[in-house]
Amino acid sequence: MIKTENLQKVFRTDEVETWALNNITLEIKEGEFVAIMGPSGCGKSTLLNIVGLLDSPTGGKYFLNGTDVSNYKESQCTKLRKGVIGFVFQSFNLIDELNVFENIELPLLYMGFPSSERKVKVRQAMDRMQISHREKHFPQQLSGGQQQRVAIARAVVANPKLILADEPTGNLDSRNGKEVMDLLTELNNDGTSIVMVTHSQHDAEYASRIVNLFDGQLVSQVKL
Amino acid sequence: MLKHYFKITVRSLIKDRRYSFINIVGLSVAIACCFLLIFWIKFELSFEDGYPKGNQIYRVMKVENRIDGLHKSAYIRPTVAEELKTTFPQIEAATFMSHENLPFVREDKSGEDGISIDYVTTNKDFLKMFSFVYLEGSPQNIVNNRGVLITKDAAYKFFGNESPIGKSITFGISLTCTIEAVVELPRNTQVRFDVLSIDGHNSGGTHYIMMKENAEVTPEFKRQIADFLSTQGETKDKLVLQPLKDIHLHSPKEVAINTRWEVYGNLEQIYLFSAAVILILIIAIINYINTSIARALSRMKEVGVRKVTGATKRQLKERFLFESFFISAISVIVALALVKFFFPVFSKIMGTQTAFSFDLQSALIAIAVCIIISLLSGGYAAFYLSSFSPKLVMRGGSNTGSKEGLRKALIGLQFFISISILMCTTIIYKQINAIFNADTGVNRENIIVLETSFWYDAENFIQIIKKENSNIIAASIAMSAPYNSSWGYSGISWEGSSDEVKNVEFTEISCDTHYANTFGLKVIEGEFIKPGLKWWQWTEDKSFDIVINESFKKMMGEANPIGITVTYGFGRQGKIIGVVKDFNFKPLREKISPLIISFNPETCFNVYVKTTGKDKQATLEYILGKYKEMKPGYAKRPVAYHTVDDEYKEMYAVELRTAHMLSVFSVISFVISLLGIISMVSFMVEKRTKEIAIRKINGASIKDISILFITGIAKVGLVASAISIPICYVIMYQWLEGFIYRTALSWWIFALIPLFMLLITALVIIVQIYYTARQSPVESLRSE
Repeated sequence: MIKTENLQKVFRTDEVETWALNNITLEIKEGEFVAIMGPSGCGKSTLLNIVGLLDSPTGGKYFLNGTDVSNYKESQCTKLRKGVIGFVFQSFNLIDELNVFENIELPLLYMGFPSSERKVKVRQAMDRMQISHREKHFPQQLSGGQQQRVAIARAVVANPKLILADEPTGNLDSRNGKEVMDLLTELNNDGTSIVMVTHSQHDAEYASRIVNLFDGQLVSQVKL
Repeated sequence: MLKHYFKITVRSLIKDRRYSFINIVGLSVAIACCFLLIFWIKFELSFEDGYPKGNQIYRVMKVENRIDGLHKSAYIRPTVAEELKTTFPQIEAATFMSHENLPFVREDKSGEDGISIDYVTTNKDFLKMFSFVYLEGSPQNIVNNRGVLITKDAAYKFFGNESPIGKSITFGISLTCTIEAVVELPRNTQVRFDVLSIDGHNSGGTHYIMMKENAEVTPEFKRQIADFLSTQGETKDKLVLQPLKDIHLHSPKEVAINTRWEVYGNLEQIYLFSAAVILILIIAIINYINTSIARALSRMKEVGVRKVTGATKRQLKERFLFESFFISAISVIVALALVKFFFPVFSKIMGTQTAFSFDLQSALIAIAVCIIISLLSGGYAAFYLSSFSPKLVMRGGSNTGSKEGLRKALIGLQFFISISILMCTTIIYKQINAIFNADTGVNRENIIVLETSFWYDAENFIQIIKKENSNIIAASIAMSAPYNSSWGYSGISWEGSSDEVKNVEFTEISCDTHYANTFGLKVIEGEFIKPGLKWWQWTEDKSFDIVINESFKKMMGEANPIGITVTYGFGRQGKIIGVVKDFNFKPLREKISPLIISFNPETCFNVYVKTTGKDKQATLEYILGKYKEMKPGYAKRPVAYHTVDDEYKEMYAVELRTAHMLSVFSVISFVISLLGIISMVSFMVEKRTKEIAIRKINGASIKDISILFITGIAKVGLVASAISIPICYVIMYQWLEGFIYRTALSWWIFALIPLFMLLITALVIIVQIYYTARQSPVESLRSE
């Protein structure tokens, strides 16, 4: 599903050149649950951004479902991302002015689903995440765990093949963190590929493979 | 999707209610000003639109080649237009309008006081050329029954709600008019009257011609018209045709100034007010753009999330443009309510006296304004916000969205506009004040002007009131006051004068012997007109004595002009017996020119009564009572009088109106700018709460922190002031050039106004900082 060949990302200023990713070659198969680990600043999030088509590499190749997308423009990336990739962030990233239902509905809105269909899909996602009773609540009225469930519901509502999670438990206590990891595992069991960036060895153990990065280089991969 | 945009827009507005309030208030007021201006300009441009044959109608004007250039006049000798009609087959109709202000009474109530109205005499062609909405009667009735046409307003004055058809109004014993038709006279026409008779004799006035439907006004035709007068007699004067539609806004200055019967517009005023309103709109739009940029950081998350979940740039632009459209729509609605509320006041200031009506055209204008404002105000935000990269969300935001430089530049622009408008308004007010208090060489204090019409017994009246009432110092009958005289002619000569002198325009004031005393004119050589002259000029030679001013003497080049006989173009002669010190006898836009003061009280129609200013009301009542008593033939006429102040206000109506409107505009621009600055400062303070806390921990006082913030804004304000001062100086210097009597461009205006703006801004900053800095630093750091 995901294949990178000598993927590079270099940040350049007038005086400094920083290699965020240095020749990363990696393959992730459909249905895999991969955890990316490494110390702060090792390039985990940069890699996730490129994989999620939010950023483009400065060198190397990136194939998504067999297509070279390394040089895709923003509009092409947006089109490709729709319904294929779902995102879960450490800081939840819910829109404060939208309630639970409306936040989850957002991807469906941009995919052009009719209202009736949207309602069905959002309700299913809410049921699955057990947050139906909070439908009309706004993000600031929810606990951290509940907010992350909403974020996961939003990520899965369009039935994407791939979910990218950037430290999804980073802002949660252990009980809520466990619940989130259980949800991700459940999604993976249902066939969704998951790529997760994490600092937590405990969370990484939910994955089927751990990829370790250090100073922008892939240093090791461990199959669990 | 629209429902979604609507929901999030409403919630965002409520969440950021302070910014929303500032934006909506600013835009509403600016749009209200814009609407008022559009309605007013629409009205000014609509003059004469009501006449279906208006495009074929032209006013005939005379052009004289005077020594100081071409001089146009709309009042020309009788029968000119009719002569043109008989000469040129292209002309279908020709008419004239001769105005008189006469007091009429209802024929069946002849004992009552008269009502002064504008009585116009014209010919039958008038009815062919100008069509009106006939409420009662018809043009045929007027022609067949030889009756008059009355306007609805005038009819109401005489008959209330009764039908006036078949009823008569009279002026004295010589004029009885039977009403045959009532019309609704549109507000947007120069062709004004109260009562119109088509049986009048052609005694001069304004002349109009109407071309045949397919006849064109070719250059050849224009040339023939121009030369027409010289084919009729020996004259160098030319004729020129002015399209009816051009009269209101495109008439020559000398024609628009010397008028009593027409209401002229002022193109300069339209440009000036448009500029002021556009500037106000810019200030309000800047507020919107500035708050959008300020809020960009908090919007970044939303933009990122939307992009990550599949929104395209276009969809994001739509979302933010919808928000600006929504704000603009609310502002337009609020603005319309403001317009409805303030329209009567505005209409009064502008002198249009029109009623506010919201028709289809107004609705279309409102929608167009709404769309334009949304694009101007929301356009930048939409493009700027939609360009955020979604990866910023993954990184948890960044500072790239601050656009500090642009925001400072926009605040600077607001400072610049506000300071400029305030400075210009102050100078205009100062100039008007200077005009009203100018020492023009004439004593204008405590003078009451009685509009007596011709009055051959005025001398008796003057002597009696002076004797009977100690509050009356002097009185004089004259044709015009020594501050507003424009009656003039050329063709004057004297022994040894050059031919060129015949082209010089002289102004003449006809008056009695008390004129110099009443107005405090200083005789510097010889003497003023002697007392005791017989009123009928032709009865004794002394009656032809004249007094000239210094400018006349200078033009003559004679060291001692006393005793020189001046010959008028039409043959009359006058001997110079005195020279008065120069005084401004015309509005202060014009320089002092040669003047003749002649004894000719029988041609005068105003009595100027100078009082001590004590017991004003009692003195006025005494004067009016005595006047009625001594002019029994006019006892039933309304006593028309005014004060010099009234006359001054009328003379400078354009300047006063400009100053009033500009002062309103400058207050508005100042308040909107201030709102913008308040929101910017609060944003800056909010953004730097952590910095304030750290500075406090390290020993900074509120004063130190305030100075830090004030310095930043003050720099912007100083740069804006430095740019606006020379620009305003040049603009106002040029404006003042239009006046002969000018106020000084005082340094304090250019120093105090920027200082005032900076002080107000500093005050706002101090208040904001005070409230932020009062918080415990621990609290501030925790919330960060």
